Amino acid sequence: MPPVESSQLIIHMSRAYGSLNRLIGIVRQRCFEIESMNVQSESADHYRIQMVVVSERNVVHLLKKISQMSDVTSVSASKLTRVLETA
Amino acid sequence: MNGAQLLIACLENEGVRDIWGYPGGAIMPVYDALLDSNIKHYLTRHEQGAGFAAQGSARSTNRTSVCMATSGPGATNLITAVGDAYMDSIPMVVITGQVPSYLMGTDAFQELDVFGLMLPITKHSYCVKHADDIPRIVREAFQLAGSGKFGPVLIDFPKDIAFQKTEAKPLPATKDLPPISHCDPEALRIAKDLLAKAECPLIYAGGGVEKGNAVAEFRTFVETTGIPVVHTLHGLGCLPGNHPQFLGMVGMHGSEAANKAVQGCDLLLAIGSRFDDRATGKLTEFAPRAKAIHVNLDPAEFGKLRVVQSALGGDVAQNLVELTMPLSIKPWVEQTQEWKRTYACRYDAPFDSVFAPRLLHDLSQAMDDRETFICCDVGQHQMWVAQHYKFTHPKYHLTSGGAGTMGFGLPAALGVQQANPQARTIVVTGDGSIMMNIQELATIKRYNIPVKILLFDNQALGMVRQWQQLFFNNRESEIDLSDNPDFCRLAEAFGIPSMRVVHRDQEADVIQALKNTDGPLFIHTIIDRAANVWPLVPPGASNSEMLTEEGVSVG
Ligand SMILES: Cc1ncc(C[n+]2csc(CCOP(=O)(O)OP(=O)(O)O)c2C)c(N)n1
Ligand SMILES: [Mg+2]
Repeated sequence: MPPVESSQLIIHMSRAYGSLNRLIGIVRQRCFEIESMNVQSESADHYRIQMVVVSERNVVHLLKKISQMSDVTSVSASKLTRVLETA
Repeated sequence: MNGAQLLIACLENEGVRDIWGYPGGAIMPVYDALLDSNIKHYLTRHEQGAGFAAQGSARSTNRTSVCMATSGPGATNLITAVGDAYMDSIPMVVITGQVPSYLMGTDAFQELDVFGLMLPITKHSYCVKHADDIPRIVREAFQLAGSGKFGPVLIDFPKDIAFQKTEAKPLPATKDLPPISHCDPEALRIAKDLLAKAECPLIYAGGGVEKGNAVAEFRTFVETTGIPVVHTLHGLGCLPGNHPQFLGMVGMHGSEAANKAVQGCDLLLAIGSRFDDRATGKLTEFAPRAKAIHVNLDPAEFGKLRVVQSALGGDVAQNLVELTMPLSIKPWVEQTQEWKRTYACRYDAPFDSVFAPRLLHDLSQAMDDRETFICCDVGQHQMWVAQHYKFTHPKYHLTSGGAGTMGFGLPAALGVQQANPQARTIVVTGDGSIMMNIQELATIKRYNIPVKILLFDNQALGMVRQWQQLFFNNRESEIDLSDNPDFCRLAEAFGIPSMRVVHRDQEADVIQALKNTDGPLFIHTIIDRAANVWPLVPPGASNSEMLTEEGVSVG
């Protein structure tokens, strides 16, 4: 089993009808779970979204899929090291 | 003008000449506006038929087509065809009526969240909020559907917006599609280097060659380099089926020569293909000792399933031109030719009934210069077409590959025939599949569409029966269709002439009838219930573990 990794995505995207649903749908369909998500309205027609996703899958593929959405102006990802059970 | 009239004007402006659809309450204003338009509307007898007919038009022309339905159940009936278009990258604009926007969210009559339902199976989706937005939305929808990696785009259209008055006008015509990115020089340098060094290179080409309008460049590349070729289901015909360098289809029902070549190659050139599991079998054992070059329009395919040494995005044709060079790979070519001779298909079946592989093979060999499209359904007959019909160009082979949707063939053929009136269109179907959209026989009759239907009746859901035989200890579960209707009488009831075929001696008559009949024709062909598709790679196994009629073949 490949290890579960979490990544932080920063997405700038249009506020067109349904764009957030589309984004969340793609994340789920490519087998990623959303751990946290922060949506800000950058302008009247744009969001800035900060999203932490986890999966065994390679985040690069998700990144490419998101970048291909016609709503999206830019997307970037950085891997996060998760602090686990420091008992 | 109202919103519905503006929508129709915008469609005319995009060059739409026909729409496949089915009316109902929420879409009625659009149907009213259609009466004053030059666009021809074709009424199917089920919305799924409309979706697949539109696909047939798009698949055979590479132009974006349009289908339309009312809200709620009309829209859900379209979903299978839309999902199918999504999986096979078919450019289509899908228009659905919606309840008035002031009723949306109230569980109104025939209200379903069609926007939500279609989200994961469309490239993009719109819900029209104001009539003034229609010109922009229609333009964007067509541009998105027909650019980059093609796909379906939804326009959900609330009824009150259809009645809304507007001063907006269709946008002036433009041809400026988003530019396709250029070749990556570093990846090209690596690819050329790999090619020059390879001793046993192999081309594994798929539907992206045709979609990228790169068939001519592909053929030049293949013939100049001399590299042997295997095709995916959607790649068939990129290299003509009779071409000496063509080794056959790869994968689950691929030829032994093709699968052996994949296992033995030291350089794999994946061109317009995407390492689909039906082609690769067990991924880790696919071309296990090969380096790989991946040429694909869609960068999201790179590294998705296989790490490659050189990824060439952007225009497929341009990349192929760059890579074209003579190679010296004679010993490998001779080896693959020997496999091709050793494992050539045999058509000398001993029994008296019709042998579908032979009939399909002979049919393709008997074809003249007239364009002939073959629209398949899904099952054993579909695989026999892929294995034995020699396609001269990929556009002539319409098959539901990604989704594998039974019921695709007949309605798709309607769209093909209407978009290519001079061509011959043949549906190859099974006794299970034909019943999934049998109602479209009425559409054939209504518009006198001269589609020929070749039904292989094995009184079973044959493909499922074969898997039950091989992988479930021959325990047959719900595959029996021995109580099929009398298909000839059924066709006649729809006003379509029919012919019944039971003996191998009639195979030549079938071919003549398919070639030379002017109008529609339904040919009911009885075949052996026990016939199987060979070879077969069991699901999840390596392509080297092919099962053949004689037993296991070790690759
Ligand atoms: C809509 C749909 N339902 C179920 C299946 C699963 N399935 C694949 S092939 C097949 C049997 C097809 O039977 P038939 O059309 O008679 O073709 P045959 O295999 O007998 O040639 C079935 C049920 C499918 N592909 N599509
Ligand atoms: Mg059958």
